[in-house]
Amino acid sequence: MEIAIGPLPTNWGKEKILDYYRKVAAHPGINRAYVGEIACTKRDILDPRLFTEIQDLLKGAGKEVILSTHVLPTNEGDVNKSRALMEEAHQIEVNNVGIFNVWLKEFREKPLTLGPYFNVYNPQSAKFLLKYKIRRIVFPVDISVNTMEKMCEEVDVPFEVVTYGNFPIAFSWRCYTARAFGKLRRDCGFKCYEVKNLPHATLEGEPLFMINGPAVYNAKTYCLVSYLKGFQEMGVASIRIETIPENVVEVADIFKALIEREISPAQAEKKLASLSEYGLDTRYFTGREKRLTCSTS
Amino acid sequence: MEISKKVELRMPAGTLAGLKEAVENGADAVYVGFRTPTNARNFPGLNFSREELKKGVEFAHRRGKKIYVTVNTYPQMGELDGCYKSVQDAYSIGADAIIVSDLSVLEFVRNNFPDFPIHLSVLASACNAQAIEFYKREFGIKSVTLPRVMHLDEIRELRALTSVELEIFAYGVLCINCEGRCYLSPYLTGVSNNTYGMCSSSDFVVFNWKDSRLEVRLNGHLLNVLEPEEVFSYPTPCKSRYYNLLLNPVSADRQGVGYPMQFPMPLNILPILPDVIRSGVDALKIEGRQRSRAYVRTTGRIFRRAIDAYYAHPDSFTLREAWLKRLSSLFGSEEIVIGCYVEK
Repeated sequence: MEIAIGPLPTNWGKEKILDYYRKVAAHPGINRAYVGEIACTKRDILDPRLFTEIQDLLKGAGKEVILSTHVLPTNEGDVNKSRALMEEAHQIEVNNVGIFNVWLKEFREKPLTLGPYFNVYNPQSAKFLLKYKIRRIVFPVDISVNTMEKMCEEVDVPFEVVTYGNFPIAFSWRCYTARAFGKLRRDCGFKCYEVKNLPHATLEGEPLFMINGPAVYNAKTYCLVSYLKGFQEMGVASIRIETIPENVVEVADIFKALIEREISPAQAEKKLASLSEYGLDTRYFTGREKRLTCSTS
Repeated sequence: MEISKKVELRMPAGTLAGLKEAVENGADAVYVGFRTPTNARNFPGLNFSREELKKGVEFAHRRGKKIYVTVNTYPQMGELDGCYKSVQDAYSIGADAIIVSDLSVLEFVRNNFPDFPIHLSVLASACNAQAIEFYKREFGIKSVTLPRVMHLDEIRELRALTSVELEIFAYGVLCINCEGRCYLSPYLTGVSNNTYGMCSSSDFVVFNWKDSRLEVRLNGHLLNVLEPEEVFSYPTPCKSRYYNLLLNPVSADRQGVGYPMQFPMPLNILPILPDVIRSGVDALKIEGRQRSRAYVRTTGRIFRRAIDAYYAHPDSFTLREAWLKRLSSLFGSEEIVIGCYVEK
């Protein structure tokens, strides 16, 4: 089972981004890195030159590199931003049907991954898309285990599961970070470069979300280590770790050890919990399963 | 300016009685769903049986109005057959179009009912000309509901690039996150709204009076605490109160808590109606299949009047205060939002 690293959550600045990918390049357990910005079409974390530099760095270290593209490009200018990066990329991940259409017409020779926000929820949809020679499909984050199993069984394409991390669970036109500082997206002043993830808690103080630009993230760290064996058995090809800049090496080490059965899921969970600011959240998945098999209260 | 075809007013109905209200109060078309997890308003006590839809279609057709049927969730294992069956039923009953988002359902409609007009659901999140081109080429979609993420300038740009009918949301509850790409509700409840058609399902909502205030919880998570006089809105994770922990630490008096995503106010485009129509959209959608007959009647009448008033005198359209006042009574809120149509 392969390990992939998700795309960039925010603009850490060129040096920190490069430093991060140097660590990824040096890590023997990471097979693949998604590189790109998916949430905000304004902040341009990557220009084609920086992307190419990162792509070369990772390729040189034997990693697969995939450009991740925007979820909500709402005009031609936005689409062209993705197009300019797609020109440089060896492989592409799409999270929007419009960008998929651009790939179909202009970049079809480049291997394509359908990202977690492309919304492939059933085997028939996956089969429909396979006629375009898709390289890989990442399951949506709210898909059920039963469906995953069925898709692995019926559809002849490698599947990937988001297994760990803090990642967008909502996308808006509104910049929530700008809103937190009384600004509009139009003149956001790129506050997201300064404050990164803004944690939000319920009125009882339960940390629930983090806000970053136009995306809302889960606050507790999503962690499906206890499902890993099940994923392996159903034939999932790879797991995806959503990026944490400070501890990508430690997290990848833990998953590598877990896949190779050097540590148990409980041990992995304990180690991962110590790395997560607001603790782990394993309920996301579990809750869904419960709801699917039991009647509601 | 030259005015072509009038914009179509597409009204919601959750019941047969609501459908009749819509037809008699200004709708050009009414959109409805079956009583199953095949559509994005799968609420208890709502929606249509096959028989009810049949009556609804007859009622609407006799009055020259159209009925569109939503089969717009993303089915997983166990739901696919239900979606296919709903498409078949809608077609055989004589619905005028089917509203769809999932690729397998789109393919099913195109392969089996090639003359059944397809409206691409808002849940498909088709927010650019390339996306619409794909769905038109592959499935021959007739209309697309634009997700509420687009500025009027972007809609004008889109208008010039596609011949597909463009429908936008004109009134009702505002999804501030892009429909079809929002996983907040499953994050808190474990139930995928994309699949089951229930955002913030009432199965998980609990109201509780505590110290003369109303506590609202979703699957145990406290979404809001309301004073008795505060405006009530159905609780969803996006229209709830939170601490921004960076700016406001948790405190006994709840200093600084706010609505970091969206205030619970309705979307209402009436103040910008002329600009909306001139942007070239083909249809205006009123949100709210879950709402009352009175809601359908009021929104229908007012939007009908406003649209007709615009076409009667496009250059001297004036917004009537009385319209806004009557609409505001529906949400108990004088305040409205116009989403990102004018400003992002």
